[in-house]
Amino acid sequence: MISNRQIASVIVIIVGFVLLFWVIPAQTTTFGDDMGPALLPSVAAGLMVFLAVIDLVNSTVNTLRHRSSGAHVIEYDVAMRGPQFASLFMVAILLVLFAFALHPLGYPLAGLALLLALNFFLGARAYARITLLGICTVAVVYCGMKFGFGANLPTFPNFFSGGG
Amino acid sequence: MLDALITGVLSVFSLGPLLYIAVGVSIGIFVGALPGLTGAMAIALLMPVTFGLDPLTALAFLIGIYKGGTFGGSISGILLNTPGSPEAAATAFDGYPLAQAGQARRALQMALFASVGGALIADMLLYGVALPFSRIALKFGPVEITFTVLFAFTFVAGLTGSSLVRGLVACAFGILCASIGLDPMTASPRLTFGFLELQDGLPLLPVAIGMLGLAEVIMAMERHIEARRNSDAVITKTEGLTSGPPLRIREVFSFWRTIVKSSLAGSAIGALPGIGASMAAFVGYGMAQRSSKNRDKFGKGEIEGVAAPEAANSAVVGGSFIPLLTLGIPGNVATALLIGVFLIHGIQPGPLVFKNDPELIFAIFTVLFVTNFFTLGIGLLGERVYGQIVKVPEYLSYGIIGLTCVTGVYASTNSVFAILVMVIFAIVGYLMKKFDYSFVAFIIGFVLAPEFEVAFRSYLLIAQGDPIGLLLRSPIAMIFAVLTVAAIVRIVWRGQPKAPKLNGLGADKTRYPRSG
Repeated sequence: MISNRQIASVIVIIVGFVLLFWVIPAQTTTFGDDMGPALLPSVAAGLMVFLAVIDLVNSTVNTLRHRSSGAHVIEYDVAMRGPQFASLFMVAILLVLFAFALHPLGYPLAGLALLLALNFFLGARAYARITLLGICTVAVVYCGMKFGFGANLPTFPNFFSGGG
Repeated sequence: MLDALITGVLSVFSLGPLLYIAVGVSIGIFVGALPGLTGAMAIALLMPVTFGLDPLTALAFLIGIYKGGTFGGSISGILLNTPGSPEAAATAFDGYPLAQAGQARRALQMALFASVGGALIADMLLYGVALPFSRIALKFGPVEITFTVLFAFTFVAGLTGSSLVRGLVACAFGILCASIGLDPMTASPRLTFGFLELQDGLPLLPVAIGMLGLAEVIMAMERHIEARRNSDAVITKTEGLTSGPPLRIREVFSFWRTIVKSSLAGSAIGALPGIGASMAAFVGYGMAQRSSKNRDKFGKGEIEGVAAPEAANSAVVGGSFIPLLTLGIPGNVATALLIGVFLIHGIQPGPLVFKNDPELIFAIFTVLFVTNFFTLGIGLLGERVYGQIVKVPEYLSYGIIGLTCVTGVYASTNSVFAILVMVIFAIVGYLMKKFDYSFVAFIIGFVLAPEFEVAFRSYLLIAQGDPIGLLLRSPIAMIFAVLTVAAIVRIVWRGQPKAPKLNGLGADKTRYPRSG
C-alpha cells in the first residue's frame, strides 16, 4: 500500500518537472545567457525535484521497514481522509463564495454570512447567540476598518457589480 | 550618533507609539493565551492595520503583539496544560502542576516576571552587539550576502521541521513563489501567466495570512469533524483557576541566576536563524534543572521550572532582532513578517539602516525595551481575566480569525484576486503542515529570495566563470559556506534536535498546542 507521504513526494516531483520543463521556459525570458530571469526559479524547481526524490526514497524505506515489522501503513502515515478533505473544501468554498459575494452583497452582509457559516461548521449550535455575536463582530470589524483605517469596504449590496 | 540616540528614544515617548504598544501587548497576550493561536499569527492578521501608520508606530504595535504573545502562550499552558504557543510547552511542565495545587496565580506571576526579566536582558544585549555587528555587516557584498542567506536557508530548513529534506523543499518552494513577478535585474515578467495582478509578485500578506491564519481555521474545522465522529469533546473546568496566593517579589530575585542564564541562552538561540523560542525554552528548562538544588521537584510543580523556560523564550525576541536589524535576515516567522512591514514602509532592513536611519534603529531598541514594562503592567492588571480568555469557545475564535483574514487582505489590497491567492495558500499551508513541510522555511525562503537572487546573480557575474575562486578570496563568505556545509552534516548526522531529558512530567504528558 502506498502511503500518503509517498504520494506527497510524487506530487512534488511531478510539479517540479512540469515547472522545470514547461512552465519556467514558457514564462520567462532567457536574454541568451544562463544567468537570466530563469536561473533562480529553475534552480529552486530542480532542487525541489531532487530533494523530493530523496524524501520518496526515505519514505519508501520507512514503509518497507514498518511493513516488515507488521505495522499497518496508516499507523505512521499522515491521515488524509474524509474529515481532512471535508474541512479543506468547506473553508475554501466558503471563502471563494465570500470573495465573489463581496461586491454584490456588500461587506456587512457577506461578512456576516461568512462568519455564521464558519461558526456553524466549527460546531456552534446556539443560533441566536452566534447571530447576535456575529452582527456585533462584523459591525466592529467593519467600523474599525472603514472609519479607523480608511479601508475601502463595499457597504451596500450592488447586485449588478459582477462579483468584484 | 548621540543626536540620533536622543531623537530615537524621544520619538517613542509620544502618544501614538505608546498607545499602539499598549494595544499590541494586550492583543498579543489575549491571542497568545488562546490555545493554538500564536503571536506570529496575530502579527500576520493585523499587518494590514499598520499600513496607514508611520513606520515606528507600525513596528511598535507589532513588537507589542510579538512580546505580548510570547508571554500569553504561558497562560493556557499553566491553566489548562495546553500551551497557547509551542514555546510555552516547557512552562506547562511545572506551571500546570502548580495550578492544580492551587498556586496558579503564583505560577502566572512568576511566568510574567521571568518573561519580562528575560526580555530586558536580551534587549540590553541587543543594544550592546547590534552596532558592532552592523559595522561588520556593512562590508558585506554579493558574495557574502549569498552565502549568509544560504546558511540561513539551510539552518532554518534543518531545524524547524522533522526533516531537513522536507525543510529544504519548503524553502525552495518559497523561493520559487517569490520569483513570480518582474525579474529584479531585467524587469521582464516572470511566471505571471498573463495576470497583471502578479506583475508585482505574490504579495506577502495574502500568502502569510493564508498559510498562518486560514490554515489554522481549516485545522480547527478538521478537529471539530474528528471530535464529532469520535464524540470526545474535552470539557475543562476553568472557574477560579487564577486564584491562589500571589508571588512574593523575594522569590523572583531568589532565581536571578536562573533567569540570567536562561536569558543569555535564549538571546544566543534567538540570534541564530531557525532554532526558535521552543528550543530556547527547553534549553533554559534543562539548564535550570541540571543546576537546581530542587531538581527532583522539576515536573511536579517547581516554580523555578516556570521561570527558566519563560526567561529563555522571551529572550529569543531580543536575540532574533540581531540578525534582522544587522543583516536583514529573519530567524523566525514573526521577524520574517516584520521584514515585510519594513519593506512596505520603504525601509530595507540591514546594516545600511544603521547608517542611513540611525534614529529609527534607536527608536526600535527603545520600543523593545519599553514594551517589556507594558507587558508587566498589562500582565498584572489582566491576571483576573485569564481564566475567562482560555474559555473562549473554539468556534468563536476561529470564526473571527476567518473573517479577519479575508477582511485584512481585502482592505489592504482592494482586490478579490488577493483573497483567491490567500485561499490557495491556505490550502498549501494546510497541506504543508499536515505533511511536515516547514512553514517557517517556506516563509524565510519567500521573504529572503529577492535579496538572495540579486546577490547570487551579481556574484556569478562578478566571478566571471570562477565562482569558487571568488568565494576563496572572501573570508566571511568562506566562513558561512563552511558553516552551511557543517550545518547540513551535523543535522543529517545527529538527526533533529530533541528536547532535553526531563524529570517528572515529560513532553508526552503535556497537551501540545493545536498549531505547529
